[in-house]
Amino acid sequence: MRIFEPHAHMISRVTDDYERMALCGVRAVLEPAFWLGQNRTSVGSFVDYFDTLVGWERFRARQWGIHHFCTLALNPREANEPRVNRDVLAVLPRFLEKDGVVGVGEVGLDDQTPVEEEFFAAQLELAVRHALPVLVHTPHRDKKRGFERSLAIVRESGIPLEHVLLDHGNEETIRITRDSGCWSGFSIYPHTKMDVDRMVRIVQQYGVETFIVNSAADWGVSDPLRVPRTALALELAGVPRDEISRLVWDNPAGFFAQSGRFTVAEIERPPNVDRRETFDGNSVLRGQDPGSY
Amino acid sequence: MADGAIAIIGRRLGEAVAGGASAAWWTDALGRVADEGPRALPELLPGLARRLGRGLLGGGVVHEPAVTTHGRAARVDLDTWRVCDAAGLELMRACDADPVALFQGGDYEERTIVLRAQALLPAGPATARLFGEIQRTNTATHFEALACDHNLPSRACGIAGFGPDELNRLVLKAAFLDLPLARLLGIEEHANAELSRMLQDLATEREAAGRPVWADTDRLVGLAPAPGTLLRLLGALTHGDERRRRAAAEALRRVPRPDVAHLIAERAAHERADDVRRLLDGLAAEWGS
Repeated sequence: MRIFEPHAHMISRVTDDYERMALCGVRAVLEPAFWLGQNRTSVGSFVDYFDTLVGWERFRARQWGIHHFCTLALNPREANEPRVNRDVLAVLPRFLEKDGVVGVGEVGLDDQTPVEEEFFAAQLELAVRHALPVLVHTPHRDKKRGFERSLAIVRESGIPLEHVLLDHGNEETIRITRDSGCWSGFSIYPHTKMDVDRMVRIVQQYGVETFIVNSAADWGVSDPLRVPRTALALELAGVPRDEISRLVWDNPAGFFAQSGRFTVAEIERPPNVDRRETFDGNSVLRGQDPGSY
Repeated sequence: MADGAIAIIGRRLGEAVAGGASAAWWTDALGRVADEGPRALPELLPGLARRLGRGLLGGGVVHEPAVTTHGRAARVDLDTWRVCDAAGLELMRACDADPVALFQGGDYEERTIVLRAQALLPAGPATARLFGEIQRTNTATHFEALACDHNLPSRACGIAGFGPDELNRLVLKAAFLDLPLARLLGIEEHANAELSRMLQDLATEREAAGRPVWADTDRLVGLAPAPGTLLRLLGALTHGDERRRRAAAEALRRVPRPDVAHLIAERAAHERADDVRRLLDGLAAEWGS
């Protein structure tokens, strides 16, 4: 089964993960810009990070036959950081026009501060101006209230609601997002947020219509194969294959294709890759024959 | 008088964009540059390849009399230009943009576009900075965009920050990347003994490692012999590759040494390729007389 992994922080994963994902059917990855585990102190580190997401990381994914896309933004946690927040907002417009950028994200609320709200709204405006979909991070703490507040800010912005993916949902938040017109994302983690078995029950109860599942894999305890594992669990639970395919391919691919930067038909074929080519002199391969996988 | 390169590029760009899905976007982009000046470029350049495409312009090698350095006109091979490169040139010509900043903030395609356009923009301190940038990159496409298929390096040699030493290092890098000499338009007239020494050292290093030597080494060192050049060329006359023997024979014509005429005659007797044998016979007769 073809899989679109719609939320994985590949910069924090090893090259073996790309290979394992490819072997499990992952053919496209969306990498949202996020917090790197500690606050950055100048806009330069954001610029270099964004350059990596539109450059080196795309090259690395392509080596394994995987299309790489990203969403770029000032994440909610660092929206609170006065040393960077306004400068990052100023560099975003030129980055949002670059190849491979198919959305604005992760934006949203984390600690739910007024300054987070200010930068959330400003970046929704950018999304409207660049006609891009938005990936919204929702808070780990006081999640239900955070969802409601996020949805209110989204509505005030005037962005088309079908351009908005409210991520990291659970059984509680389905009731808020399901009829909102936005898409609902579920991050399948080994221990927290949402797990495979709970996700199976959600699909059995609600179907897959505007749902998207992801691994949100990063440098923490997480698993870049959680989407393939969820697909397998759904199949074993008797969910029809075409419905699973909608959940793990059609929905995420269709959501980000709203950017107009790629078509779903285009990414059904693997990316053109010549593994003899290098990226700034780096090929990823270490003595491996470029012709063998 | 025939159109210059810039007029041809403008015409072909217009034809490529007209009626296409991005025609309105392109008109808007030109309007933004007119209104906002160079500030608009960082948001416009990233979309050029995606929106206008990478189709080749074509047109062969043409001159541009309006762009000169040290009294010499620009010359570019339009067969290597793409629609997005043409659009980039148009936008950069429409305002006084800083190409170094655009290069540093650019992704792979933007950098290619900014570098290629330099061949038809005035050469100055920014050009010298960009030559420095491509010496450090390992991305062959970017090196080629600024160094190959036009005469910018040859023409710009002598501007502040890009003198004969920098040009030598650029040619050495082209050899390192195995780019044909024919793509470095006008470089042959800058041949010098120091460059020959550098190229010969690179060749020796490659030979020691059992790796291929730049195919144009003998041709270029023959234009400005350095210590060791004669021996190198004589040795190459016995190379297993016919092209290497031909290049060495041609290069020897520029290194007249009557004292080795008998060695040339001796080699000519064993040469299998007719044209190379004729070259050697000619040299032996000329030098021996």
